[in-house]
Amino acid sequence: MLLDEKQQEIELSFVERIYQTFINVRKRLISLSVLFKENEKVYCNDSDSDEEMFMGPFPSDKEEIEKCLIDVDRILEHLASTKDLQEQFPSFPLCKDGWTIRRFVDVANFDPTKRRKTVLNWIKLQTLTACEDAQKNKYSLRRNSYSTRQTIEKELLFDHEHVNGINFLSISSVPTATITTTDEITLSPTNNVYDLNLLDLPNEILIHIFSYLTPCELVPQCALICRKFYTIILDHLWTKLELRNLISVYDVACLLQSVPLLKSLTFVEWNELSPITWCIWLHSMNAQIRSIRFQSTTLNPICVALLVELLPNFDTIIFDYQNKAFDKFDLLLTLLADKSSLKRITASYQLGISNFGILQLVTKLPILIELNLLYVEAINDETVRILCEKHKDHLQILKIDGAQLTDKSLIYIGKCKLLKALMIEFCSGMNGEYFSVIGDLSQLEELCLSKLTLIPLQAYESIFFDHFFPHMSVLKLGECQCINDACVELIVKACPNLKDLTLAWSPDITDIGFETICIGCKKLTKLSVLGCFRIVGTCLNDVPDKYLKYIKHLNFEQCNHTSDELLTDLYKRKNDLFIINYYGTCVETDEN
Amino acid sequence: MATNVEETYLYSSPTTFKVSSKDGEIFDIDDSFINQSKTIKNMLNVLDIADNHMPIPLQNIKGTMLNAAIVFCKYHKNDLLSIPDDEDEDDFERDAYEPRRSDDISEWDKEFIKQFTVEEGTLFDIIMAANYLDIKALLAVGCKTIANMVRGKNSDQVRQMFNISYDPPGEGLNTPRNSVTSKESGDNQLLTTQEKESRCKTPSPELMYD
Repeated sequence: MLLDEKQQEIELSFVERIYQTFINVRKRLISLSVLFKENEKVYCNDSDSDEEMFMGPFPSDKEEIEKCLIDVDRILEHLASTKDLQEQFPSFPLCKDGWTIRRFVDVANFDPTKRRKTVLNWIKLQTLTACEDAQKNKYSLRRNSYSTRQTIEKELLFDHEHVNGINFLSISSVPTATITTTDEITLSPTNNVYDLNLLDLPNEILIHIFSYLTPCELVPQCALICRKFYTIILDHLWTKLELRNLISVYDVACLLQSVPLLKSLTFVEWNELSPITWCIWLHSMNAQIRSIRFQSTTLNPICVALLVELLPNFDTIIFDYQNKAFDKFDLLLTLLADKSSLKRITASYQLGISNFGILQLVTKLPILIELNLLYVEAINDETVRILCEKHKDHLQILKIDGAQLTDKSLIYIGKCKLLKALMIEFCSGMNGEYFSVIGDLSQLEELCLSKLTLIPLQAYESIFFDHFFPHMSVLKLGECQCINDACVELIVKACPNLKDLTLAWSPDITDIGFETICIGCKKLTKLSVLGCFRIVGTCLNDVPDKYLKYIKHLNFEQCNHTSDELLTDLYKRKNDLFIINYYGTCVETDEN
Repeated sequence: MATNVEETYLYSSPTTFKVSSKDGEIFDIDDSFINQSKTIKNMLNVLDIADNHMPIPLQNIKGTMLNAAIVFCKYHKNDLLSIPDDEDEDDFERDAYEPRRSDDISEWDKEFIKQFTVEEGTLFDIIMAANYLDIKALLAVGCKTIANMVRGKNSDQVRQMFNISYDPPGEGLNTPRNSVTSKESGDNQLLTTQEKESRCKTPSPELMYD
């Protein structure tokens, strides 16, 4: 069948655009290759001496770039030949994902306003799966007992990745006066009793109403009620989408065209995709998209180069922990360093990151607001110095690994006066000399430090004595062995608005300190005293009547002086509480 | 009386004022109302009313609704301090994947909201009044109530409950069980209460094609 002229135009321009994109990607990869070659020497010189701070890229990175270039060349060749042969072979597959010229045309012609039901079904599928996963996570959290070590990790490290609780189909009471059974409500179109109808409420109130409903209620039910609701839900509420490997890559391309206000997009479990697929997806996306996240989705340099090439305005990128990660992450960071709109980067747990990659990112990006590189041990004092000197007027969130850091880096961090969140894991190389610097970061909302075994009491006092953190809501100090009751009092005084407090493994905290927390921190929702084994917890008897009115989560793991009965009684009084007992298991009553 | 000590108000005493509703009823309001209604608080700050005998006209609100809002604020005068600060209260770009809780309506509020119904449209009236007066707690109770009504029902049931007209069967997304004649769209026009009253007809959604 011959394609008509109009379609031919579309397909021509589409193929042309994709071809052009890959030409640009090739240029990016070549300049990447040049950069890595230039810096090769730095690595050679340094490899023998441990003293030199700066290291070049890993040698295997270069080979990877060469491989990518070969792949890109092959794609270009393929596209070029297709351009010539399209009239004879409109169904010839261009890559292993099966893209053909016909598919291009279908995607380019997709009109979401005519296919609302289809779009809704796609979103429904994605949403219901997301909700189900969240539900499963919640369930397993309640069931499983985890070991101490894991708990610390969970408490301190994985927190920022928690699936935010989706209040899955919670069955709430319904005022009986207003609704009898639905069958009893008789309808007549001429019924003039109504002064005001639900549809008369202004959009902002409808959005307010919908904000109480979960996505799995909104999509299958509410969006179907009428077009107004559909529009409100998809346009106003649908700013975030989790895209799973549930629909075909062609449908994804269509779906991406149908959510015009999407701001944040998460790719879940999309592996081994052809670069052509990524290219078409990125072409289909709304240019206003701000945040991209990859969960269990392996990327290679070509995909990241496409991302940098095609999405004009994104400012946030998040790579989640994954089992089968791409192990030359320096390449990806270096490519991302060319994206000047990028302001927030999360690449914790990724493999193959060296100082070279981090420095590319830090020195090339004009504004860096958030940098999360937990579990990336490469970062050292010098990198922190360059980071903080360049971005001190912007940096708000910094989460890094402290394995190679000394107290000196705190002096540099102290220059970032806008810091809202600071997390340094494994401060094993620090001695607390410059902890007082943290005390001057008065904007802090979150402070997490772990492995503080060597830090003396005075260091904590220098943070909290005579300093005031009005916004501090999350404070986590792991293995802070030297903290005592008096210091707890300083903390409570300095941070009156705490919502989440963890003090782990401090044997000097007794019931006096615990009571200080209960009385002083009125807004606490989460409290963990993991391993503070001298706490008996008598004042828990007054929870929630007198103290800790808003508490939701209590952790008494490895607190062998806290009796099981005390915790069980507390659970009976307030059974929406999530309490972890000495054994690391969740307190439940016998009936459950 | 426990008032919020941290906040200071620009207006000075007296602490009671008069307000008049759309239908001419006059009510006395005190601190409890002024503190919770941002609209009134702003009005008082801007207007600098010295003479408290002159009622402030609230042309958008019916007497019954105003009265109810005053009762609500009287009951809730003391919880100002204990409401945990919810910073993202106004953030409509909030994440759809993290819905707010709607199952935490207190017993008193449940009883209170029962007097307003969908059938008479009064539930929407009180929500509109709360929105106009900017009483966050009352608006939240109203919206939560509606959210709870919608929850767990299929779209057909929701349409019945709120008397939302259907599109003719088979024509689109919301294929109904029994159809009601669609009238011209009320979709993009937002009608005020008054306009609505003069028209008194059920707005119909536009067709959805597929």
